[in-house]
Amino acid sequence: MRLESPELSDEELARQTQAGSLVAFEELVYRYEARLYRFVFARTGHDTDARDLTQTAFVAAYRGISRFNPQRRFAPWLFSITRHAMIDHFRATPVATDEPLPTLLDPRDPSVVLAERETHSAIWQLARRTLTNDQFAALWLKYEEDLPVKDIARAMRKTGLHVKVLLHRARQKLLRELNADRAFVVSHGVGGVAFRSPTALRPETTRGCVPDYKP
Amino acid sequence: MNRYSTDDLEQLLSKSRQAPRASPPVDLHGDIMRAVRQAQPEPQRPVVIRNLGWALASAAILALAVVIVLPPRQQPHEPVALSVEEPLNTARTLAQQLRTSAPLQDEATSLADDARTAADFLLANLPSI
Repeated sequence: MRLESPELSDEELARQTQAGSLVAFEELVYRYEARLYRFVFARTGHDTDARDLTQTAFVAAYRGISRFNPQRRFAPWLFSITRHAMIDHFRATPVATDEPLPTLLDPRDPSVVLAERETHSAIWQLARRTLTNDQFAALWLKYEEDLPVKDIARAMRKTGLHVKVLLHRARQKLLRELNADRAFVVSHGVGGVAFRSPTALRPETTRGCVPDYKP
Repeated sequence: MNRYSTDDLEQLLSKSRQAPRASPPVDLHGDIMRAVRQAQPEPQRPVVIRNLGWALASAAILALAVVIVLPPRQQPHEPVALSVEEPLNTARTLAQQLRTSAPLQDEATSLADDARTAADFLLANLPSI
């Protein structure tokens, strides 16, 4: 059941949960389930793991809601819990998959959607393959979640400076990987930037769907 | 051959935010809420207890730092009588050893004389043996 007041902030909903409202927590689940699932799936590459970890994170958040300080933002707190659940998971199962990111129904032109999805999927698969857990998390929280460095630092329990260093190293690594792999070229209209998706990550069936880039 | 610059990568990553977002499985919400309903939230600890915990932890860390950082306090000087007693005891021990070794030395000297006499005798009578 969804709350009728969508204008309530996450922090207010968390405060109501602390007071015993399960409905308030369910609203938080509605707001964050897709975000957490995407974050976990992008890193693990497994639907089952992503489901389990998303569920684990929400249960941990519900159990520990009394520790949340409503004076602070809810998102970094929740991502921090999720990240720790992922760390525990990776201790048992290291990252080793190139499964593409899950798809989403979109009413636009299928070729445009496919091209966008290709870029999105490939860049994060490359990140998953190349970056450390911390680098990946920092990069995801910055570019996908649009969190400011201060909140990323809180979510990762690191200093702002450390997060900036992580982001810098993550970008440098990704850049090296992108420049090293020249097998596929996808002209994608990102401000005139062409994106070459990594060979190993590109499904054979979609090769003909996007024009090749000719410098 | 074109190479990507940092700006290119920045644009790619920023653009990926606008790309179609993956949707979670439809039954995920139900699974989460079922698990949440079975979980019990931890009781909220009063602020005083929370602060007390922090205060105790801080005090423990401070005490540890004091033990580690501060130099150990020096022991007070021993009484003078004790410091004199030690050489006296050493002197007594040495005297005792001397008393014990003196008769032994006399005996050794006597044995050496006997040995020398026996040797002289042997040397003198060697041709006739």
